[in-house]
Amino acid sequence: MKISRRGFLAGSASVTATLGGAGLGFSAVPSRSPASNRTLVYLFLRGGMDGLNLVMPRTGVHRTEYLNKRPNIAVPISNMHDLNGVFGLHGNCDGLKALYDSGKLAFIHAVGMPEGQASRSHFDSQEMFELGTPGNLATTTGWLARHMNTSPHIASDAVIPSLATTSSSPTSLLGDFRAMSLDDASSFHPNSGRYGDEHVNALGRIYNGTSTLDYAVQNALNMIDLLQQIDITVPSSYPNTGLADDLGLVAGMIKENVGLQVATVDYGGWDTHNGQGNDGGGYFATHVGDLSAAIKAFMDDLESSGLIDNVVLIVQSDFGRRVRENGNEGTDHGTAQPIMVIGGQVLGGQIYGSFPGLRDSDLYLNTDLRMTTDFRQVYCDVVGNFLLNPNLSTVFPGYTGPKSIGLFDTNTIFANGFD
Amino acid sequence: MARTKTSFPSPDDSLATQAHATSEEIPAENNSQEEVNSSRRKFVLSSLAGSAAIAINVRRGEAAESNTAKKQLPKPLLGEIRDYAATQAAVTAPPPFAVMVLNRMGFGPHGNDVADFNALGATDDERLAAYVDQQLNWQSIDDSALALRLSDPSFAYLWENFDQAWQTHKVDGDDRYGPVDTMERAVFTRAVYSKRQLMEFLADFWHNHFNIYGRDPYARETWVSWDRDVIRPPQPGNPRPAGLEHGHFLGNFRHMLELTAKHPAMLYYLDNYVNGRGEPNENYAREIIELHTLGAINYAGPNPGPGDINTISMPEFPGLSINDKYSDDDVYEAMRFLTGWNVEDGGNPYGENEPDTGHWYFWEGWHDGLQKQLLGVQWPAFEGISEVYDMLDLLAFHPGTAKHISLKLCQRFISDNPPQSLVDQVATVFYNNRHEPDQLEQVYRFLLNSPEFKDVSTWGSKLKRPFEVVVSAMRACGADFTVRPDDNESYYFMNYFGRTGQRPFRWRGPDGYPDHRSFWEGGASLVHTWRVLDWLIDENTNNSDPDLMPITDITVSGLGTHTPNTLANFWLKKVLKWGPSASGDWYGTELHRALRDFMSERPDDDPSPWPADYPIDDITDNSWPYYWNERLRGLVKLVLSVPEFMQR
Repeated sequence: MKISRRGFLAGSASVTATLGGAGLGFSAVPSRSPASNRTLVYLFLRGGMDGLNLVMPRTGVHRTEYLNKRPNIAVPISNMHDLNGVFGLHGNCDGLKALYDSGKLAFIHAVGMPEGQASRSHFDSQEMFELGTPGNLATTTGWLARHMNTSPHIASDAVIPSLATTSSSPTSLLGDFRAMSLDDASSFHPNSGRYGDEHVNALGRIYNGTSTLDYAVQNALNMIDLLQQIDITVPSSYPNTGLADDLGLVAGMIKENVGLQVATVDYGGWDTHNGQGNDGGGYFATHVGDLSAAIKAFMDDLESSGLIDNVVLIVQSDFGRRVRENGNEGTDHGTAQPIMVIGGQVLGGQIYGSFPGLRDSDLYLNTDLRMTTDFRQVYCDVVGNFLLNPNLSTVFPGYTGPKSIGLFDTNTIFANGFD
Repeated sequence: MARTKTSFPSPDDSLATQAHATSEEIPAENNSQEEVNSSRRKFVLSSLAGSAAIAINVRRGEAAESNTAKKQLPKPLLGEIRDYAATQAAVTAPPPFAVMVLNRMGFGPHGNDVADFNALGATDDERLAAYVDQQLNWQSIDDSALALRLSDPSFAYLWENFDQAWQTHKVDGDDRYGPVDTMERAVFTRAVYSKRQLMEFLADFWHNHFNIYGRDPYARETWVSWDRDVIRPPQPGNPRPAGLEHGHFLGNFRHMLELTAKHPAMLYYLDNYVNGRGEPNENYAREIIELHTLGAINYAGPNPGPGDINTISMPEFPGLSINDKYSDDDVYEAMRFLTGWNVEDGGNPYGENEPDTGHWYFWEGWHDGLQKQLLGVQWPAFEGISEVYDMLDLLAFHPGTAKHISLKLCQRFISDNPPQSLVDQVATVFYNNRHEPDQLEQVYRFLLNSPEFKDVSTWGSKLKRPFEVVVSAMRACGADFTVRPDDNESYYFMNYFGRTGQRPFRWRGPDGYPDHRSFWEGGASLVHTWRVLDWLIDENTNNSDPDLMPITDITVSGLGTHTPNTLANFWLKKVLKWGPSASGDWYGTELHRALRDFMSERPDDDPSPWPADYPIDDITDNSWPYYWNERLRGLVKLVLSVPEFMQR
């Protein structure tokens, strides 16, 4: 059940008092389970990020291969953070480095879909990641929707259990009819004039039925109400970028305690076929720097609010790009990629997985970083050990591989959760 | 990459693949996105000031009239995947036949359309048959009002032929996005003002069926050609190439399919121009089968078992057994047929010095010449180019293609889940006329005269997509707004419209904008669609330029006595073109009460409403304390948002 529009209005005399800084009623009801006030944020880097210029070898034979295969675009040691002696992080990622050093950020390298099921098509690959079913584009629900529809920990009084910061729900939320989408709060109202409230009331009267369209309108009206009643001001500590605004919106919802269990965020601009930037500079460097700064601001915001242990952020892209640079000082579509998992409870400061190497004989089809970790192993770890949903076989149908990669200390989580 | 069938119940797996629109733009595009997003900060600050107003919005006397039951969303059982089939919102009653037809085979009534339709015969059947004939005989319809709007100099790119466009926008690199940016505005102007409504409705359907991301290279420069030389029927004096004379959406599907296959926009978008022997690329091969011809409904999976595939016979391939469904092996084989296709783009990476014309050509040296097999039919080695035409014949003439396209047409014209009996009948017409020059015209004529199309009991089962909502609203309100290039208002309009998620030619995946209501029921898409209407109705009302939507003028000239009662009734009739009472009025309905109450609410300092028959002395006045004109415009925004208008 959710707070309906009419519920808001009927109780509106006390709305202001209820809101008095404490959030929307959700906090008044004791959480039924430790995972019901946890939030997973799924940040998708649309376009295929060049992961080998984010996390790359800094010593040894693979460093040599990296330099040989990327004569123009290789990131030099002088523009690189040292992660663990063997691997480096792009030098523009100060924020990510700080999160790594504080033990909140884990990299899992060479993640992908099983060989033979991966695709170098943006659309197919995004779809299969978001559906959670590699090799199968006919699945009719997204993996986040299946989590939402099967988890025993979705709070019954959640106002916004799932949020997409895009105009229509992404594939990962396909089949979750409680999902709300909000891409641009600045014009999120059907009437810009002085009769906006009356307009919303009239729509609530007109769409008062039980069809899915009625529900969709009611959800939208609730979102409009909510935006008027809560303070989701993005703090000035966030950089002035679209991604930072989206993450700030999500953080605002988390802080307002609306029962947010999953949120999706998109950040595009990664399809760097041409002139991505030489010697660790240029377009890619700026873009990855923006990514790093926005994530750091988001996690800092949550930390200062005392909520960082309740949030996990997964950052991934369509695919990794080719190991060798192309003739245009860019990179073409490849296969495996590094994924980031960030949060207060993440056992970070480590690089998980197995790096397959960059020698010719190491590569998949002689061109791509070879996949060594199935993405579902990472997702299962988050769904099972952070969101505590035991229905992994439904969330990832057909997946029989390992269900954890060790990102969480499950003993700690359960102990803290039941305190 | 193999695709398997879903392993759990799938509510609508007939056309299940749907891509999510992505934002993987080049850097320039990201900047504009960030500008849009950064305004959020301003909003949330200003919204704080408005929050106090919430508490006084409860109106007395309303509870008795409205249903206050709390809605509860379906709660799935643990571990179970529910079929969340989308359902339509209740409507007051079905509309008259003419109103339904004008909403089902066009973008809703405009001007005197309803009266004109009703004058076409003595019975509904006669009128519909005459209207369908009239619409299909498109050249006999005077469309000079639209032509006048398109004669604006800003539409100049519409009149470039293919070679001019390629030279200007591709070779010279001048305004590369100009043609697609012109087209995204032209489709609004055409859909609103063309009297050839069925043509515009069909153009929208076929652009989505053969969807291409219009901002891709080779598409953006040639987009006018793609629309004019492939999708639409040829204009007099501009015939199709010899042998493909009937390739367009009123003509022959086989001809049309080959035109799409050879256009540089498609060759680039689905990578067939780089599909060569030794460098295979199956992107186009998969989509021509899965989306353009047989469709996913005829997919037997990657590893079909006994009985999954049966054989049929086709007169075009005498004596041969042909598979009724396809598997991944057929995709791989189709890829081999399609090797060696290329575009003359002056940049052949394989060493030949080629001209830069944008024309398709076949490079035999890059073609996989060995023997092949498709849908059970075998081809000997070294057939050259002819075998690919055989392949297009096999796909276009296959009965599975007839069923797939007929299903999609019935879904577009009637409902998301049309009766299978009708789909089968339409498919039979498609199949039996597969060699006819007017095959597709015959298909529409049959479908549009079918009892299922005429059945008012299925009224409302389609949710209008944002494009349909906005276009039909502009038609209903008599908008005077030529959406066009090089125009500030059009620029803002496109930006607002883009937030609905259906900006023309911007769907990234090859499957086109989804046509089922569950996709468009995302709350943000609905709110942004209504926000476009809000902008259209308010634009220029506070300056001396003409209103884009003449709401005030229509009210003053069309209605004598202005009260909350009469205004709500007048605009419901005006927009919906009918009323449920014997006199064609809306008095006494829930809808009328809700809208009347919106008009009769007093300013916040006085909670008791005006009487429903309160005489409003000057509806053009927008001054304190009543702001009647703004309230009137709000009323019309609401009328355009009701289920009776949002669904068709």
